[in-house]
Parts: sequence; C-alpha cells; structure tokens
Amino acid sequence: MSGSDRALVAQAQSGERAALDELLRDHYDRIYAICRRITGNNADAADATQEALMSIVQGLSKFDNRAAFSTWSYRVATNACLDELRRRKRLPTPALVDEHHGWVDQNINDLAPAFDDQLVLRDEIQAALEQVPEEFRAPVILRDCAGLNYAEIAETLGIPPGTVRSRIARGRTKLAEIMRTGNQSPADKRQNNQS
Amino acid sequence: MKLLPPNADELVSAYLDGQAAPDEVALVESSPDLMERVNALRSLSNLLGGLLEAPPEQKETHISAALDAFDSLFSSTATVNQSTAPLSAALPPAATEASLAGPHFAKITSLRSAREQRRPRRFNSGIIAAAAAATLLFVALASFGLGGNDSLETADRANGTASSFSIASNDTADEASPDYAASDDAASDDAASDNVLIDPKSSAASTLAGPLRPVEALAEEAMSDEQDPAENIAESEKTEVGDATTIDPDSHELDSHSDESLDLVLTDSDAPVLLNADRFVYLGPFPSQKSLLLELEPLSNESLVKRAEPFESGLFPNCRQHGVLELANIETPTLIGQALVLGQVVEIHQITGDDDAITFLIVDATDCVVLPTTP
Repeated sequence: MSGSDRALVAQAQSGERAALDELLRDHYDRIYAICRRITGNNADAADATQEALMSIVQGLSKFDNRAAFSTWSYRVATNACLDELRRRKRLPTPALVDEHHGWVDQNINDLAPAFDDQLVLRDEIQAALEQVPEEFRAPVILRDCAGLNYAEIAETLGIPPGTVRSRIARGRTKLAEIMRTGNQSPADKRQNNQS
Repeated sequence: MKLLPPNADELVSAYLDGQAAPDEVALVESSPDLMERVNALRSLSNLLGGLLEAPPEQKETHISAALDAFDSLFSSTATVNQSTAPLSAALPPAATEASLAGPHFAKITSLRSAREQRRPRRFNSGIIAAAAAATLLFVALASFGLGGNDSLETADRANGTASSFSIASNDTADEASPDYAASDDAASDDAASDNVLIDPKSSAASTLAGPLRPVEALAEEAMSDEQDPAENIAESEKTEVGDATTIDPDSHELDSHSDESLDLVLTDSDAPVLLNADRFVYLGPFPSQKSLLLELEPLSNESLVKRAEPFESGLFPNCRQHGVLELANIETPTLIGQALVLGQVVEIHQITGDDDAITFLIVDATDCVVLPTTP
C-alpha cells in the first residue's frame, strides 16, 4: 500500500471528507475500467462503479490496511460487478464481431499496433472479451486490468489459487481464439467453413 | 507439426504472470514456440490493461454521491457515539450497522451482519467449551428478553463476545465479501485441471488461502437474512465448535482447510499460529529451514514484492522488522509470510539486492533472530 493511500485512508476514517475525495479520485478510473471490462457495457459499468464506491465508503471504517487500499477497492469493485451481472440476469451484450474484420486474420502474434490504432484495438478486445464466459473473464480482468496477483484474485473470487491459474490461462486462450477467428466477416467465415 | 506440451497454454500464461515454477520457466524459455506464445499473450494482456475512461461528468456524479453518503454516514455515527473519534475505534459493529439505515446500506448491512455471525472460527478446545457454554447461556437470555431491531445489535454483541476468544480477526476478507461462485462445469473442469497443475513442490502458491464461498453457502446466507437473529447466533456457534481443527505439523494439510477462517490453526504443540491468509504466504510445516527455503524458490519476484508488507504489531506474535538486526536498516517492507519449522513459528522475510536478487531470511518469531539455513 502506498504511503499516500495509507495516510488518506487514515484521514478518511477520521472523517476527513477531502481525504476520501482524493482517495476516490485516485482510484476511480481503474475501478471504472474493471467494471467496464467485467460488465461489458457502459450502463452496467456505471451502476457497478457507483455501487462499488458506496461499498467502499461503507466498508472504510473496517478497512485495516492489511491489504493495499487499491487491492481492496478492486475486490469491492469486482464483487459489485458480479452482483450487478447476477442482479440483471443478463449476459454482456454480444459483440458485433461482424463489424470488425481484417486486423487479426493471420495470427495474434502479429499484434504490433500503431498508437493511433490502439483505441480501435481496445474496442475489439472488449468485444472479444464479452464472449469469454464470466468465470474465465473475471480472473483475466483482475490480472491484466487490476494487476492483482493470483493469491489476491483467489481471495477476491473465492476460488483456489490453482484454479485462478487455470482459469486465467483458459480465459486468455479463449480470448486469443476469438480475436483470431471471431472478427472475420460473414463471407470469410462461410469461405472457411466450406474449405 | 510442432509438438507442444499438453498444458502449453497454462504454462505460457503462468510464465507471463511470473507464476510459473522454475522447471516450467526453463521449459518455456527453451522453446521458441512457447516464447512466441508468451509474446502474443503479452500483447493481448497489454491491450486489456488499457484504461477505459469514464465520462468526466459521470465520475464527478459518482464521487459526489459517495461523498454525500460518507457525510451522512459519518454524521449519523458521530451522533450515535457523541464523539469525533475514528469510526473504526469508536464504533462497535452493531452501532455502525445501525447507523447505516439509509437506502444505500440497508441491504448490505443485513448480509454483512449475517456473514459475521456465521463465519466459522477455530478455537482451542478448552476455550471452545467455555465459549459455547457462555454463548448458549447468552442466547437463551437474548431469546427471552430481546427482539425487533434490537436483536440485530444484540446478535452482533453476542458475536463479539464469542469472538473475544478468537486470536485473529479476518476483517479484510469480510470486507471484500466475494460473492462469486463458478458454474458446476467450470468448477469440475478446474478441479480436474488443478489435479494436474498443483505441484506439491510449488505449493507456495496453492497455500495462499482465500475464502471459499460455494454457491450453497451463498444461498444459505441469503436465506439466513430472514431468520431470527437468535437462531443465527446459535447456528454460528455450532459452526465454530464444529470447525475446530488441528493441523498435523508433519503434513501440508493447509490446502484442505482453505476457507476464509484460516486465521487460527492449532498445532500439535497447542501453539496458536496466526494466519493472515489474505495477505501473507503461509507455507505450512517444515522439517528444516532449508526445506522451507526450497519451497520459497518458485515464488516470483513480482508476487513477493506485491505481498511484502510493513511489519505491524499485533499481526504476528512478536517481532518488528526493525527489531531484527539483519532487517533493521531496510526501509522497505520485507515480511512476506510465515511457516512452521519443527513446530516453531517463523517469519519469512525477503531482501532484494541491488541486482534484484532475492534473499530469504527465516526469522524465529519468538526471539526475533535470523535462523541459519542449515538444520
């Protein structure tokens, strides 16, 4: 935990509004990004982010610095997202994969995007991510987006660390497969199926 | 056709995350094909890690709402306590919960209270008997004399009474409250996969225990919200008594006890061992310091650095980082976990040298001295 966060947490626990304000601002973008990745759409991500912030405020008095504030807040956010998905009982919006084609038609290894292509790629990868089952998607996001280690992911998701390892691997493999094959045009798919 | 190991995807993924064992690392690095996959996954991982920014106005709205909730929360708790002391120090759990009666908090409060009441703990057998007897008496009194909203507060207090016998709390794990359960398919797949993947040599990773929250338990918890709090207390105490566990120091049984209450394990010598399972590596019992060091080898630099924490009084039985001669001049946190060596609690510290090489120190938790690496 950074010294800055630790001090801010202590101040916020003492009732300093400004400290909480700074703490939330510092971590908001990452929390939202996690929610956006997990829920797959802006509306659910916004709701989950709001829920996460409320839970952070509520739980702050019991937070004891045994974990980094960032780690803890990402866990709270992840739980808020999973709750949101369960509550709405709906899957993320299916990706409009047919709108995208051409850039991963050879191999995922060819990914060396120019900077100005990266925004497009992020949309592409989000679309692909939404097709990865939730049980594999969440650990991948917690690892790659939140930067949690396997033990922290295990704790967050309530699964053994060995399971985290296998799910991350399977999630990434699935994601790579979708990126390789899922973004083909309908014509390409038909051609591939025939051949 | 290129021949790759059957678990190539997992090897590559673990390698990318710095979670592969040394033999796996060697295997991956010796194969150009696997390294090619590593680079591919790294590109993917980097893309995934890119921030997706929220609209600025949404950010302001969310933070503003959270601050408003904070204001009302803090003002109402201050009213309850007639004090400006920190929330964590000033408020008993019941008062905190009672203060969260607003629309945002009612649901969360109810679940959390239920979970706290139901969280299993492990006790020394003598203490268990005393706690159970005292609690049953208290429950009997409570069921006759208390009801309505007061019951919740009473339940928390009663739970606090029983908890006073516990050596360690598990607040962080509770705060995170992972409400996640995998589908049966995935679970069975993973179980099969785990059998293959968890190498006893690298059990360091697998003993980083976290809460297991099976879907049945979640359903039970949800239902319990509607139960009589007095019933919850009794049920909670039954769980606590039933879960008392003794770990054989000669075996690595910890994996089989991987649930959220890994806060206290009884050893054959009756020496209580604090397990801060949400943060520290607990590597179980070992016959020697050397064997423990061998167990540590697979841990990656990345995971260790993230886990190293300041040494705080109360988390472990005795020492502070600056009280250990070899660690006294190191400003960065070094503590990463603990273990049992010949039944004795030891602390594991890591020192990262100028060349990024890691040295592990095994510290006797009683005398705060570094133990030799030979038996």
